[in-house]
Amino acid sequence: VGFLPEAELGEAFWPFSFFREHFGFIPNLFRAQTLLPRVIEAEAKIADAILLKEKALSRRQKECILLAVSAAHRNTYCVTAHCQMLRTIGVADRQLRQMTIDHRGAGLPRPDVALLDFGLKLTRQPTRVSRQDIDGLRRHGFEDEAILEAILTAAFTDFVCTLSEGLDAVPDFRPRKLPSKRIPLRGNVRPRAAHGHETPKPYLRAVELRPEAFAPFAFFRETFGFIPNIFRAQTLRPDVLEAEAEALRTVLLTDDVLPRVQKEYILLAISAANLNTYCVAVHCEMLRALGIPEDESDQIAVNHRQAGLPVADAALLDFALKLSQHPTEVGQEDIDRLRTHGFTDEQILESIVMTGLTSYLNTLQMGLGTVPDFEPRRVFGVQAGPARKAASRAGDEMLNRLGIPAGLTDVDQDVVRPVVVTDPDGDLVARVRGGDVGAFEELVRRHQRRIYRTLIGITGNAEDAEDGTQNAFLKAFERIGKFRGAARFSTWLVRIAINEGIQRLRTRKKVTGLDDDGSKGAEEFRPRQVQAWDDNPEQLYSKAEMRELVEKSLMKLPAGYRMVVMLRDLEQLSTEEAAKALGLGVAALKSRLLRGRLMLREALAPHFISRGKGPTRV
Amino acid sequence: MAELANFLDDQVAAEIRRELEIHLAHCRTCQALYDSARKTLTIVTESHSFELPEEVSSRILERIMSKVRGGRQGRSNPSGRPRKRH
Repeated sequence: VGFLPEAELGEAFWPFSFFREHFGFIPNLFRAQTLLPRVIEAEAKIADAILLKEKALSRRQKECILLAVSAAHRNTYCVTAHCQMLRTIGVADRQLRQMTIDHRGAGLPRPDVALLDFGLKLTRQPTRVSRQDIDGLRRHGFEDEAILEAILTAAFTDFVCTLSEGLDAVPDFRPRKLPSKRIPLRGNVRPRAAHGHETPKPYLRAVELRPEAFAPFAFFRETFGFIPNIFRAQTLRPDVLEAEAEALRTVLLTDDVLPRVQKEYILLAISAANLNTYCVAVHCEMLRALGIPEDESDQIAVNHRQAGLPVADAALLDFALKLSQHPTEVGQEDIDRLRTHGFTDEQILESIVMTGLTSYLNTLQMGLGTVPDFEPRRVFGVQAGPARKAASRAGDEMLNRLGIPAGLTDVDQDVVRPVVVTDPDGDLVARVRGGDVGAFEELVRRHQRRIYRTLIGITGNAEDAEDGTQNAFLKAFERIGKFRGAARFSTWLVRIAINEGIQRLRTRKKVTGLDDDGSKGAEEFRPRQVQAWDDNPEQLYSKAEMRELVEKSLMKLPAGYRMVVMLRDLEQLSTEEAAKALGLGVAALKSRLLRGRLMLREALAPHFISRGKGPTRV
Repeated sequence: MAELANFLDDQVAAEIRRELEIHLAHCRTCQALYDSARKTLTIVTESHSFELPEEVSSRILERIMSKVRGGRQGRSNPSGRPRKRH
């Protein structure tokens, strides 16, 4: 009943009897992965080592971390499951409810509050975790073994939360309601000095384990050629290392469902999105060992959409990044999109598990503070400045390769796409030029909706739009011999329509062009309505009411902004196409688009603000 | 602000996106702003605003094609003022 179909594995499948024995039920999270039994086995081993074995932390303490972090991720499935587990070990319902709102008011002992503070910081602001946080836990009496378990539990929570969102696992019990606001982060949230000012060594004590005597280390050395520091830092728990080695063997190192390279791409792209310098360095190295040039890996880390990957690979990374960065927004349509790119359900499942495993490794690494095994090519910082410069440098390198002098484009280079764009109207245009009037009729049919809307956007009047549409097409017909194909035919046509619309406005209302229309006032535009919106605004009104609201609100915008918003968001033109059509630079278009969208948001806000509160002003 | 525009279009580099997300995670005002801006996008995109009515569509097509075909028989200025509607 989740996104993917299930297979029948039978009660004899050992992880299922294991779950029933320890949890009292078989969580739907695992039933949803029956297409790949091997990953369920790996996950059961991880769950056993991290959650079920009671060593330094009690099961109850670990369940509390799971609950608080799941609530912070707004993950109904995991909150429901771990409320149930805590209830079976005797935690009262009131306390559980309070923990999902704010654990600080739940009457927990002070060390446990500190433990949850740490777990929340590690999962929500991992780049800000530092040795001071570890020392803080030590002051509360936690030994390194206990701190390691807290880190592992937080990482495990990220793993299962990612899985459950990606699979759309159905809660096993009556779903718990989540509070409307996220748990506020408190305590150790101050920004801290950059990594460079710290002693570069892991935060926790480790013991010596020799590969000759410890199978997982022998396995890492044999498979990767070295023993990654992230594993050397967990030697206080050899049993966890065994489970992790097994998970890597069955999830990452297999080639039978998704190729290993695609899984490394997922690891790399998500680690970069999580600003995890360590994991990016390690997986660039692993990709190099698999024959992928460093430049390519680096470009995937910066922006996979500009890495020249096959379309399907890029779509897979789009999905993995959405799941890791916006897990609650993943829907059936994302799964279907992967299917249209030719991915099988097994492959989709494996990409979800891989995304979960990456979240696990990223969180684990941030908690352990391990130093990279290799000189990192790219060091991620918390400040926007250096990161932006790094992105810019990588972009310059790419431009050089394309023969474009650096510095000619904006920092983010979404202007430059090394893709040849073919005009979908090219054939028809050629036929019209050859005298085929019927081909022009087809062009009118294809584009009249867009042209009509463009004109209504400018003139604000249905009659003008109708006459203008007719004129624009007739002008296009007259001039089609001069159309050079520098832009798409549709862009060229929209530009004709815009000029037509402006002319009509001028004769009618003596309004000047788009450039200075209202833009002065908008320069100082500041959002005033900052109240949160209803969760499902589209359900508040009927479709017709919604359309009327949008049309009226759009009409309130100055024409210059209305046009930009309409071309981008109604007509779905790309940024570049819209800029060309309006004769604007990309940067100017973007700033106008943002303001236009914000103005529109402002106009719509009174209709969609969550009920019960009036608008506030800033 | 410019980054926010890219952010809404999913076009920011991974690092900057993460930056913004860190900020959004603990700034309630920006979170409400970003969330509602996203919803605005969805609402506009799915609103089917200013749809061309079917009868207007066929009227426009008919007029254009009659001028285009007529223009072949000697009319040189097809962009002249269109006929008044009936």
